[in-house]
Amino acid sequence: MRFYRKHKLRHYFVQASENIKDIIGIKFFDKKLGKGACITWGRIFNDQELLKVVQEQCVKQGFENIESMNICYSLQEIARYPYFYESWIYFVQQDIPYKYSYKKWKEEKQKALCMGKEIKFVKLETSTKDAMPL
Amino acid sequence: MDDIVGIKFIDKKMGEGAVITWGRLFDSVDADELLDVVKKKLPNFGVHNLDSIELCYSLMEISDQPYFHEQLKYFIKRPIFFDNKYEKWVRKKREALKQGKEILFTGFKNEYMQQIERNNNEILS
Repeated sequence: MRFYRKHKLRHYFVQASENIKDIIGIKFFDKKLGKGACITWGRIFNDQELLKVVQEQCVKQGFENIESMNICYSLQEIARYPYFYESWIYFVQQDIPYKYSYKKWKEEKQKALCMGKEIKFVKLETSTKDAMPL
Repeated sequence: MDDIVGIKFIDKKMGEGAVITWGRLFDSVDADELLDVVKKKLPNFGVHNLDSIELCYSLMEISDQPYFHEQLKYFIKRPIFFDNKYEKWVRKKREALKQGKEILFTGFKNEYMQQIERNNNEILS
């Protein structure tokens, strides 16, 4: 039991510490509309859940024929996209309460993401001319 | 302008890499002491065969490194006290750097490129 508590506590602190995956990029390819990408919070959901949430928002943005979608290795992958810096600054300006109330903050962000907030689309490509797989 | 600086290096095996850290802490012109401190930290990032290391002219030089934006965020979020608290702040940061803290690695470019290539191949196959 003591072992379990110790590991649970350690897990909590690892979870609530600064991480390079706090802000992440997701890129996708739509058969009709081409390439697209967005920035959102990482470590809020697991990868599969997050991709599902983002996919739902993509449909609302008009990306109804998504062929592939994956989480970027780093933000560098989408840094050249239009509106990348505008969106990135939005996330950088927000404080993540690593020390206190991280759990509450995480729950709030989970709700926001499910409502389609806090997912910033950095590129909405409507031309199919350069529609290439990612 | 050089409060946050980039330091780029080349490892014989791992290739190109960089770190972001605080500038002007040891000397406003001479970077030798800062480079020595950074060199001590590099083995923690997997750099065991250092070929060359240098202070960047500006952050633009390392803006194409894999985790550049993720690590830059750390420094953007931490204010520098330019008023009468500056000296105290410098001493604190100097100590942190000597302990190997606040030297953030932006990843190896080769590893990043290989991963991107792998992802593209998976999508195409």
